[in-house]
Amino acid sequence: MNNQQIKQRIRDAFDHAAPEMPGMDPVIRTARQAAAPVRRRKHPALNWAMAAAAAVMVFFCGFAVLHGWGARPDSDAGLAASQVATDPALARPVKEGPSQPDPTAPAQTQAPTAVAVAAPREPAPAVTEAPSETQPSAMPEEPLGEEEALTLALKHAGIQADQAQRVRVEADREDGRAVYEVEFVAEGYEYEYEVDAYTGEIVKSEREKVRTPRQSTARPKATAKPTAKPTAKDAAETIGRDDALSAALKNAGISPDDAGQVKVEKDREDGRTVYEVEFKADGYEYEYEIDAATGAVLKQEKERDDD
Amino acid sequence: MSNNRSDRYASSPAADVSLEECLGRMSAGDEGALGEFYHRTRAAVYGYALSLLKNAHDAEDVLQECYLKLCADPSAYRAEGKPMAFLLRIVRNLCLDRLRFRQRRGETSLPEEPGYPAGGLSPEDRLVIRSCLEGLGESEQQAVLLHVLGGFRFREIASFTGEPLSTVLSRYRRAMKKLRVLLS
Repeated sequence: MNNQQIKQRIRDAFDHAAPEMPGMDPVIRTARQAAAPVRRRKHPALNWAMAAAAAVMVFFCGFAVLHGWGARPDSDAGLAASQVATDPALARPVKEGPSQPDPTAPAQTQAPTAVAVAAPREPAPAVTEAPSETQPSAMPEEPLGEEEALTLALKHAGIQADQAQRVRVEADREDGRAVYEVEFVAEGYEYEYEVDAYTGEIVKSEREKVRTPRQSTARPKATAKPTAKPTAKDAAETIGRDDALSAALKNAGISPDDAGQVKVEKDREDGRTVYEVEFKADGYEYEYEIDAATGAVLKQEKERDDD
Repeated sequence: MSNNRSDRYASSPAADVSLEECLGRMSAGDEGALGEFYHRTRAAVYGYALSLLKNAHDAEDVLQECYLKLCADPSAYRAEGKPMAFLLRIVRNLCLDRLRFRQRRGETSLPEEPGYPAGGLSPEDRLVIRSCLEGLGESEQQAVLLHVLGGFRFREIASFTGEPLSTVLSRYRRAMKKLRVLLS
């Protein structure tokens, strides 16, 4: 199977899985009818403005009715129904399952839509919430993780992991946004970063020359210094890139000097952090997956290098 | 609305232009344009949301919220030739909000049992979706779905995710290799 075929299968699968616009056609028809008399108005600018407004209103109402939402949200941002205060489902600490019929939720209509899912669902939780935000005492599992935040910050700074000292990574919340504060010292500079905990965006970056020259200069990359290793969180010790590469090379029986086009990348698979290690040696291409927590070889591949 | 298959997917500069035209027409109050826009972009929006949320119900909710948001203010899109990026940024923010909401309600960020779309899908389709969402790492999924469904060029994926281009490229290549095995 070639790439083109794979791509087409992916497109087909997701195209079939994505629901038809639920209840949209009747809504559009109604919107057209509602808009039609308006179009006969003389003022052209008012025409489309009224038509658009009418269409959007009817669309909202249609959606609201079909999905059992409460009062129509009246702000453009409040599109996810503003039923926060009244929806008892949102107050329940019960985990929201994929297809649980909810007898306690407010009047739900079995929407006769073309949507694949038939069971009545809980209304969409509000995007903007009325109740006060309580800061969680311990930051729950973040999509990125402190390791990843550090990696991103280091990359941005153009600093290698083993050059960074006094590494400090802390989860925090700034202006309602969850971030990681990353600090480290390297090459005579103090770096400070704020990395968005979910998107990895560098929100803030700062660099300042260290006043007292306490730091040593860059060290040769070959020596792995434990103190410089960016393990920030005690609970989730992961091995560093160097160790992952070593584990792979060892398994392949290849010495570091013989390995070319080396690539080490971190990824998450099924909630587990892994390193994907690639290198070429002796006319072969090697690929490894190394468990970031244990250094164990999860997957290995060796292929003749045809390039 | 064109039923031409190759037209359905936003995967070329020409498609970008026509999506932008759609948005322009939507701003002008053309309801038909919304329908067309939806049909051309829903797979990307849904696929991306599904990969972030791992739950079909939530992905559908986000899908609807996304287009509602768009309808509420189609002129919010500044014509920059990247309507897909605009759309998927909305999706990403909606998904992140939802994930945070899950956490605040005391749930872990991944539901225990991923809720995959089931109804009316052929076994092949189900295999493809499962392979993408379970057989690939999160960033590999992203690279594949943004490129294949969203029509993003790799450079665009790199700037969208804030990662180096080489990383995206090797992730994509690796993902395709895995899929070749999983789907054969």
